[in-house]
Amino acid sequence: MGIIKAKQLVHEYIRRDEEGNTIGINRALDDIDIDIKKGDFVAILGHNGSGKSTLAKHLNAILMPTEGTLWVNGYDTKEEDNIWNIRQSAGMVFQNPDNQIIGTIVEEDVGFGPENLGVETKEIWKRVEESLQAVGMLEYRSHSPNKLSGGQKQRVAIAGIMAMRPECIVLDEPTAMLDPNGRKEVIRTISQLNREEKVTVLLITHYMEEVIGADKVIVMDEGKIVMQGAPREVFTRVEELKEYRLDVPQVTELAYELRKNGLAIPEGILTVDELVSEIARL
Amino acid sequence: MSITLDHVNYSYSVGSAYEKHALKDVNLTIKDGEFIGLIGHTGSGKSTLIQHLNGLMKATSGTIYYNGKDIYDNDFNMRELRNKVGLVFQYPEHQLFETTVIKDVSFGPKNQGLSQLEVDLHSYEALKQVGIEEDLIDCSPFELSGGQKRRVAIAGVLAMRPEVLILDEPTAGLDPAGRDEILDQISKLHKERNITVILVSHSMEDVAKYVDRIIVMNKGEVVYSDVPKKVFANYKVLETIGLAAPQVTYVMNGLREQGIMVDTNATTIHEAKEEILKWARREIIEG
Repeated sequence: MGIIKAKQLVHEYIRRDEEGNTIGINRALDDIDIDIKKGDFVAILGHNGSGKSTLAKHLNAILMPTEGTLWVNGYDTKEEDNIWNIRQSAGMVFQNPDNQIIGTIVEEDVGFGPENLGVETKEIWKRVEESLQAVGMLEYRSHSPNKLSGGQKQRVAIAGIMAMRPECIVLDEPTAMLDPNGRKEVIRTISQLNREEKVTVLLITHYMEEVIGADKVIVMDEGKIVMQGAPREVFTRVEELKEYRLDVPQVTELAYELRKNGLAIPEGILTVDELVSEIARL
Repeated sequence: MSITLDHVNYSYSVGSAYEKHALKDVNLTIKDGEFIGLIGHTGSGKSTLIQHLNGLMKATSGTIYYNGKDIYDNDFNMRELRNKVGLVFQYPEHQLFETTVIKDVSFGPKNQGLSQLEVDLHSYEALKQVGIEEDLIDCSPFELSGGQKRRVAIAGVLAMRPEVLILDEPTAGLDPAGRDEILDQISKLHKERNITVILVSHSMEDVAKYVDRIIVMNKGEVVYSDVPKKVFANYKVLETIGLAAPQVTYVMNGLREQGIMVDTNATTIHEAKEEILKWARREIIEG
């Protein structure tokens, strides 16, 4: 079994009137089956309202399945006794860094998580240092977080999760509020953690350029998984992605357009360099 | 109608240890009916600049003229300026507060002292302009999807019939189709109503596709103010100030380095496609 495994996972949001009678049901997750291997970098795409964030909340047992089962690191999320183990296994990073930082000094903020887990003081300091090192923020350890840029704040938030030594990090649109540089910083940090620290990464995003380095891309629509595969496979299906209100990176679309106009360019171009060398070869 | 900024400076917390010179000698003219893209990394002064344009912040020195009138004159009607220069903040849906969509959108025009008939007229029209269907107008705004909420919030500003519409990252957090929808609607409004639009954005691709002129800010200064092609030709400088050019600019420059003689000015997919196809046809005919 993989680190995250869902079997026929269903989530329904139920709306009730003042008397408690059901007045509407929204099936946000509809029969989801996933199996994510330890150490994988998985990206989840889907339009607003497709169920991505609902799925993310299940991974941390913030929500529980209406039907079906979800196992995180082997723990069934329906069992209340497992909640702490689950939250320690899968750390969450959200969109707005300002909502996630609570410490007045960077290192204090990063130490908050392990402190709450009852980790020994000496060990906390060791973890704080290692986590800040891993996200490239060690030199800011005694700074105040509110003077940092968005990208730096988000990296501190990631360090705070790393200090709890999770098996898996779930990031729900971590770059939506950042400028291009901040976005690059965060994506570079995530990829590095995945590669070097072997942390399993689940990245939810609306930026297609950010997922080209993933091992696997999952596309969601109306609570269902509608496409999955390596980025190169998924991004060859340009028209289909657009039907799901998604997009492809600008180079991929340019390559696709050129191919449609008769140039002999292979499918699934993902980077500027690939496209340039393919055109130069014509 | 135009907005002119004349030697505008702004400093935060003057005289304290946190003093920060956020706008440095900004000189700009924004002409009537222009579609402007305002770019710059976080902390470059973009948000400070736009808040000066409708008088929410007051310059430490220098002046701003709206249609030739000094907005810092004692007899200048600031309230009217705020009616004419509509500002849509980041994540405007956080400001929705009414029980129904229509009530929320009507709040602005109602405060302008219009008659109920005019309030309704302006509100319905604004909702139509942002593509909100009539069956949603009596719903609670909190039941809508993220993209719909954002459009309702923008309609709330449009219902005040501004002459200038300033949007601070209107597409942050939206899916790709949602981004295109909002920007297409803004572009359509700009064409049909001829309103001036200032779009603050982190997406170089979007800016390249929609705007007439790009203003680049860095450390409180205006670094470039020109058509997209000219600005993105400086992509190496843009990178040093935390920005970038659209991906196609890199493709065109990469091709050029390989000795493929294409015009590197293309900034949109369409332009790049045409340019590469032109080169391909030429090569095939010559070959």
